[in-house]
Amino acid sequence: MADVYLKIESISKSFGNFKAVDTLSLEVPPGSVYGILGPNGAGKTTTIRMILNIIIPDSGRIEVGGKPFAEELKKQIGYLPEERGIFKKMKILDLLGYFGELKGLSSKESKRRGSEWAERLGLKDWLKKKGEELSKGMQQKAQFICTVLHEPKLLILDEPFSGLDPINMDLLKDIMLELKAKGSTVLFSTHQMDHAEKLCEYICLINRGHKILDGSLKEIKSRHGKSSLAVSIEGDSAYLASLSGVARVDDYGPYKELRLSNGGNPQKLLQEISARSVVHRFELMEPSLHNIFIESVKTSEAAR
Amino acid sequence: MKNILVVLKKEYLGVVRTKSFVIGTLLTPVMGFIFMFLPSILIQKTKEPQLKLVVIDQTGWMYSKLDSALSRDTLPDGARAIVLSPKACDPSTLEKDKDTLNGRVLSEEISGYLIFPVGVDTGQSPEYYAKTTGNIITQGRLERRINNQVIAHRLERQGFRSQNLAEVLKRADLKALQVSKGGAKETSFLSTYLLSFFFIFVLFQSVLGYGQVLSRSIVEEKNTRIIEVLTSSVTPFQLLMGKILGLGSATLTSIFIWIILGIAAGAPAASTLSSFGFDLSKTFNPLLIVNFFIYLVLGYLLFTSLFAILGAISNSDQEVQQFVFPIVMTMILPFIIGFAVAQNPSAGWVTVLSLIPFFTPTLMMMRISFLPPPTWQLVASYIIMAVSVAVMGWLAAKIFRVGILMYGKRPTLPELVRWVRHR
Repeated sequence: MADVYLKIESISKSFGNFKAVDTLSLEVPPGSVYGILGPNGAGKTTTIRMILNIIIPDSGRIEVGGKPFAEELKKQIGYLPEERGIFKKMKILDLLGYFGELKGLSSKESKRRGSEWAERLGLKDWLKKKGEELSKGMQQKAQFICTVLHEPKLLILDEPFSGLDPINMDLLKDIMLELKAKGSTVLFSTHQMDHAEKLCEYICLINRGHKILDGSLKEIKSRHGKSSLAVSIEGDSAYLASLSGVARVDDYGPYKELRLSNGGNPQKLLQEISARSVVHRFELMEPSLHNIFIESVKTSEAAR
Repeated sequence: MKNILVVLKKEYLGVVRTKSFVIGTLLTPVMGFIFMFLPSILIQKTKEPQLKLVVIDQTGWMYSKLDSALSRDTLPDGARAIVLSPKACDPSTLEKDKDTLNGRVLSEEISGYLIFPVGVDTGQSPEYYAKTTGNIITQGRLERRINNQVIAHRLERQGFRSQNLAEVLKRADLKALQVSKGGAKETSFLSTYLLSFFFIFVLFQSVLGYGQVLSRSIVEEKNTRIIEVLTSSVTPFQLLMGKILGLGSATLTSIFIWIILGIAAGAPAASTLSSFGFDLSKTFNPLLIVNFFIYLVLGYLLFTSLFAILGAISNSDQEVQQFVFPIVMTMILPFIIGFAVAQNPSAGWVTVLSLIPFFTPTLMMMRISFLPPPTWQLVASYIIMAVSVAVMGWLAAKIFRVGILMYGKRPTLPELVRWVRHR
């Protein structure tokens, strides 16, 4: 990674005796979609708050665009926190005006852009309504607009997909990709690996405040090789886990992912399975991020 | 700076555009007027009924003199205010007579009856029986007339005769003049007291009302997590300043509206008030006005910093509410000790209390209206207030910064100390 937009150098943060983030470093290339992944309580939100300078790290440095973080940079950032809400008593148009102004736009300009976005997201009829009059889904839309109104160079989203209905989820994905296409860098945290797998070019896995691995998603996956099988068979599939050479089985609905153990032989497995069941799908593939994550966490915990 | 202005504008408009602001601003002077003046106006305006009294006169001289003295007191319609009728007096049947008279009082045939014992001029009290004995004005008049007759009777016994008894008995009312650097000025206790009451009322309303608005808005932004979005755009300090100044501007707006209303309604209001004995021109002075604004600003900043801390450490309006009571108590103190302060505004303990920052604004306003404190004390109070505002503001900014990101349990005192020391 030669080109770095956001650079975090061994930041740490403790709350009392609890080490929320421990010497974490990461590098986010410009114009990328970057995922910070980890289970609940891994330190994702704390990391994000430190990037935003809402919390000051105990040690370490954060650079954006080659310069140490300064208050002025906040104007280039759009942030969507994990738990969402808008002012109950404020009209939506005023809300958009306020957040736009906070990011340095004029009130008029932010209302103009806000109205455009509202038109696009089907929120136009609600602009004159107060926050409390909107449904939860509508409130979320209004908040997306607040986040991207000023066309941020850096979009930071904390668990953006939690609590969204499928329509808003797709909408948010579109907005993220659209901003990326315009050259913005998108950083988000999630504990749902499938979202990260579909969206991210780069990821960083953290657990208990430590980085476990990071890099480009493609690279990480190919590093793990084609060591999984996607299998779909007719009838009872419970026996798959007991086959020799299979480390674990994850159910993805239409298919199951069989993680090969060391020395597991796909050809041998195919013979065994086809002898017992009708096989619809049998494919050698890169392991899912979910599996990479679980294995990496296990390895790192064992190494302690 | 621009960030502060953006927040200021939002908070200001958020308050000023509400119906409750408009209603509150217009209603407050009305309420203030009602609380201060209505009781005395009502007493004076209430139509006085004619009193029908039966007199049991054991002295032999009282009835005719009192009757003629009372003949001069008339109701607005020209009828006598108090009509007397004599009752033959027989000491042996007195108790029985009283029983029948009590019956007549209860059936409202008569308003009451008077008994004048023989020794009324040597210290025995005359007695007044009536269904209600709370009518201060009529009773006061009756008492004065009776007193005058008793005094006149004593004078006559000592050989003094006068054609014009009223002239002899004319009261000498004490006129109070307050000496200050500008010379002596006539004052009246009541209007001084009411004026200081008025200023304290405005202070109270601004600080307490907007303090709670501030806490509530912080709690709302915490609960909706908007605070995180806001602090990703501005620093917590800018947010806090914007809020405090925005709500402060709203306070000043109401006060200016009151001043404009006051000037518009000034002349008629003043004449109405003076007809009831409140002469504002006798109590108004520039020192009072200037200090009112100084203490309003300093007091507002001090108390709202406190309310900002409350908002930052609370998770709900109810939690804020628990803290409001002690704050109200510090502001109510001057009302409780008001009369003691009026008795001796320069007492040592009053001086000490008035220099304690949380009491300063209200107590100093009270002191200034009764007896302007020495200049050094005023200046000392400004300095103490300003330093306290700076310290409280610093504390508020520190606690605000950490507190707004803390959800759930309210912090303990040691935790608060740690937040303050947090860099």
